[in-house]
Amino acid sequence: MASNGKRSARQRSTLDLFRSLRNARIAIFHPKDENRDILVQQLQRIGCQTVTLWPPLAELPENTDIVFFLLNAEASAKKKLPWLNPASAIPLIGIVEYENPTILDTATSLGCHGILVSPVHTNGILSTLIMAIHHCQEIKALNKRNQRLEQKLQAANQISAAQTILARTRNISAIEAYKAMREQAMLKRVTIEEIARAILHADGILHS
Amino acid sequence: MANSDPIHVGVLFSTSGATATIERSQAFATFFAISEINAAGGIHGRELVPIYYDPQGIPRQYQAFAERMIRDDKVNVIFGCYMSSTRKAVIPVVEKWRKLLFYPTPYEGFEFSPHVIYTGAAPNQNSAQLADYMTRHFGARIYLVGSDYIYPYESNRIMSDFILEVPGGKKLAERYLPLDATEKDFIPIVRDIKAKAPDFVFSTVVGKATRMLYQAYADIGMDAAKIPIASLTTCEAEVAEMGRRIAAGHITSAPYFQSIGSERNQACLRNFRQQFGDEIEPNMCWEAAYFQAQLFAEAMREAGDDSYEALLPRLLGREYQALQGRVAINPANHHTRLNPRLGRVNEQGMFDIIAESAAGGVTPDPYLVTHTGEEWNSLQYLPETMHG
Repeated sequence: MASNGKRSARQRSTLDLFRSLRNARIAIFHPKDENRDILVQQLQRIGCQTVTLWPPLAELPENTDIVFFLLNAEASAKKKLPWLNPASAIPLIGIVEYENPTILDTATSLGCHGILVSPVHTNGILSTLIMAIHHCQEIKALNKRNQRLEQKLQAANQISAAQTILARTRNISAIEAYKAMREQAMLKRVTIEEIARAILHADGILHS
Repeated sequence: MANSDPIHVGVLFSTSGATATIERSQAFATFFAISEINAAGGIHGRELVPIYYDPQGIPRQYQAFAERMIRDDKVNVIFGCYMSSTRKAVIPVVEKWRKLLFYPTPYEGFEFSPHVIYTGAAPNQNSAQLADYMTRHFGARIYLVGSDYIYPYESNRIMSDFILEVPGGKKLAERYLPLDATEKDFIPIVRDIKAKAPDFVFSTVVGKATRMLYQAYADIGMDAAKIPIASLTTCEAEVAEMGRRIAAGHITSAPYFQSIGSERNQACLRNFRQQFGDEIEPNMCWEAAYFQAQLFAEAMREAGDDSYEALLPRLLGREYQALQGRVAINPANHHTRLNPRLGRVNEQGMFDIIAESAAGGVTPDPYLVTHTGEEWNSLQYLPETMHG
């Protein structure tokens, strides 16, 4: 049952990706040629809004949802574009001429979410888009979750350390120490993590 | 090079196998159009000569015959394919040789090849209209049954998506049967339909199995007037096979029905029967196969040549007065502007047209995911001729 529910939720979200594509604003940094024409025409068939620009801008056009950009050795050697980095919040899709280690290494280190290989063909553009958006969203969600877990873990360590200090200094059990911390948190209307940090801080001062 | 040379064109439809009935009608529609074109002087005096092979419904045979037509018979244009699997098999061949495929069949969308002209309905030209009509008139608790391949999956996804947006909408079941399903395979399904009592059944069963579904449905005592089967593919050909008593009351969404009253349509049907007899029942796929060959001939007369490079610019944007009404090839996506209609089978085994799109038809949008109201608000609901 649970797995069924999960599966249908996931299917739904693939459809949501398609829906969001319908009015997505896509910036394309690529000189005018047949590759760019094929890309723009297919994106318009899919229902996206496109803006083509060359050379690349340092600032993305306002409200850009997705970026396609020509990725070649010359381009990557030039000064860095601020939006082209692994922390990008929007999908970045490189268009490459060579599928060689140099170019693909550049693509991964720049944080590309997807690649199109020229000559660009209408087949594959939609799949690349969907996978790039999906992976970009997954990475964002996982990063957020990771951050939350790190904070939680740190807090748990601090609570545990504070508990030990309190138990030792007051000569009470660890459970009683935890209770005392929680009471203080309620009384002062702060989180137990803050109480723990205060205890650790005080202990640090006493021992320095 | 003498300009009286005949022009070879490929015709690639199965006259045997699970989908033979419809594909045969598409093949004969193509032959009919070609004979009319030749009777009118051909293409500037050059005769069109069809090259025909029977791929028997098997995708790799479509591929092999497409290759043979192009390489050995020197065709530049192929009219063909019904099931998506067969179209997918032919596309790499026409792309490799830079030739053109005309595809006269409704399909699931999400495709564009620069080497294909699509003249059947995209989902926004048949599914959307059907979903809207059925939920308004019968309700949104539906039972889905289909043949086991891509077109039914995608059609059912669109239908399910639509139903779930309607208050009270519910998918009661989604069942798939193999293309070569037999009569007994349908018995547990119709029993289940009867037990679940949906508002209507959405069938994407195609080919020979269509007759078996409707037969089993009637046999178990389901009343088409109360709980009809709605379909995107069941047409005059299948109705003739299953018999009008079994078919009466069921509903189909298509741009063309034989019952279109225009003088041009009725005259064309008479001519076709005179030439080919009564064995083939004209239907939506027949009509698309017929007009795409005519449209090709017009484009080639202008281009003077049937090479891909010469022909394509003359095809894109081209309008044509088809039997269904005015159609036009969309230059951006190579699909066709069509005239959606809904038909309900009457006691004579013909479709009463119960709704049709406003004049001008519906622009194809093969990449549309969410079918909102706007596409079918243009449907004009005609007075119903059956069951009040």
